[in-house]
Amino acid sequence: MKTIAITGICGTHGGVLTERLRGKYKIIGIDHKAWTGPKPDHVTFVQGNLRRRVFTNVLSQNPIDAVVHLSITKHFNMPLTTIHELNVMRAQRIIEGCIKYNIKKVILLSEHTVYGALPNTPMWLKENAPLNGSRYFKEYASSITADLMFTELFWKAPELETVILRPVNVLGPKTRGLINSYLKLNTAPIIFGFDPMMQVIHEQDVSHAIELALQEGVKGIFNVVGPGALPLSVLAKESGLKQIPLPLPLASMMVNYLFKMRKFPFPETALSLLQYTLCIDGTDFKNKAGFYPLMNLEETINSLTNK
Amino acid sequence: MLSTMIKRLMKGNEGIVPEDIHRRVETLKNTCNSWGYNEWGYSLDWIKRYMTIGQWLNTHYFRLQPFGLEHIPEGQFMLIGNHSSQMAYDGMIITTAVFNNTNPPRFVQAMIGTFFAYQPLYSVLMPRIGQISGTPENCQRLLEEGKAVLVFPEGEKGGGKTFFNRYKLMKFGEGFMQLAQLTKTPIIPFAFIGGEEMVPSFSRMEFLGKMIGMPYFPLSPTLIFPLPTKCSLYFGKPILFEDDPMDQKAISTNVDKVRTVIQQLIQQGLQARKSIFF
Repeated sequence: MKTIAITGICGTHGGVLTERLRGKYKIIGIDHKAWTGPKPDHVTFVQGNLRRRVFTNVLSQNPIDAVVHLSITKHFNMPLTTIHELNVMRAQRIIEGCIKYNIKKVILLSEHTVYGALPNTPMWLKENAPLNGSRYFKEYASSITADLMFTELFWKAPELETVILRPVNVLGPKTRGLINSYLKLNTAPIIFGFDPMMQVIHEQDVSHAIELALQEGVKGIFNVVGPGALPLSVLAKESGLKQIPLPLPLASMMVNYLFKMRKFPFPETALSLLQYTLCIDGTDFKNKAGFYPLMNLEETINSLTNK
Repeated sequence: MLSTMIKRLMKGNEGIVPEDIHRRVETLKNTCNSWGYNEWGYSLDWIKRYMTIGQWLNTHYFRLQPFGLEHIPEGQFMLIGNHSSQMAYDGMIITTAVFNNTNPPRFVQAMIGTFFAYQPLYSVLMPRIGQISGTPENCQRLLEEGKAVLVFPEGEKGGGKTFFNRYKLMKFGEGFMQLAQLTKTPIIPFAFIGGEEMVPSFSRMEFLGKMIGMPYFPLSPTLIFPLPTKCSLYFGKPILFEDDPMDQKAISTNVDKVRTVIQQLIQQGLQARKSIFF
């Protein structure tokens, strides 16, 4: 049985992925947080700071076949410098470790937010689209930097099978994605006169995508698209979120206030996500890894009701 | 009567949607999810209302006379013609006329200026009724999916031209021809008569337009309520260009050919017109 190392295993994707890979892989999980609840038999847990030696220690002491990096922070209420240090330094340690210990495969779970929601882009963005995500959303810049650091591996370490997955808005009872967290609020502002289309994917399907990416020979940057798209207003209605339409300046002020009070999941710089459509084309991943979402649109939307 | 109809439409009362339009729009159902939305953003409910309003305006207000509808082919095609009417009323008239008068119904998606996406309300309205931001990638994808696309190669310069330049074709963009050659799509040239007089503009007032994120702001007394001009639509025969899509010289030559055909159709329409309003 192959052994994989998963960073950020105590996060939501880590938990779902661990369950999916039960009986298929031996897992060594690394996280700075402590494991809560009963630990499955197929998981060895190591607690430690990824920016220190913990990751290289794991690689030197265990025969690791692949590394799955899930540890990209979405706590945007931390200082910008801290977010930057967490995301960039962690990515650097992972990359250095993978090269030093000749790991065969490394997978980064990025997001489609890296492309940025802009009004003048094509409707369906492919993997080669420019990463405009931090044009307004400056707190997101380090996530894009991490994505680009992994992209560099395609020529820095061509023998390493690098996979970067950029899934659309992840919905599910456990995930902490931006839109999922927004939809789980009871009341929230929306920008008057805008209702973007939102592609959604179930958290189980993201784990399914990671499992497919672990297959030998799968290599590249892939958009991961779920079963469909719906307008934000329909998603809000389905999730029971009461939206308050406000003109952009007022919405910005309110979001800014709510975010500082820790009652809103993202800062006002990310409001373009609620304003403009950001859709991506996932054909490449379907063709190269055979990915099809296991959950249909109804099942994915139903996961929203579990507030 | 019109205000009652609009109120009922806004309330979502489908009783106002004629049975024929209801049946026609239902042919798009297989492209939509169970909420009635397509991935491009159009909604069956919105399209029913749009087609109902369009048909009423075409029949009773603009008394539209379409000629050459038999030239509309199966499979993908591009409608290429003159732009007018300042606020894209021509786009509505053409798309609803083709949808309501072809069998099986052909749903034409217009390529609209990307500036609409910046505008509140427009940014919702346009995608819901099937109008797509006019980027080359969007157009190519629609054509590859076998869809019908409406392109005004004059762009906003055509739509926003002043009354003094009515029925003068502006410079054509060439992107549409490259895509037509690349995707082997037939081009249906057309001329729309009546659009220049329904919203006569006397100045583009670009400075004012820029302040609200639009390329122009027409100085016209009938901007919101266009005049009831008698409109006509002339569709030409499909033209298929099979040159190399990377051959810029061939593209320019072919664009000139299409422009000439459209100019002839405009002349034909203007000569056949007895009066602007009757």
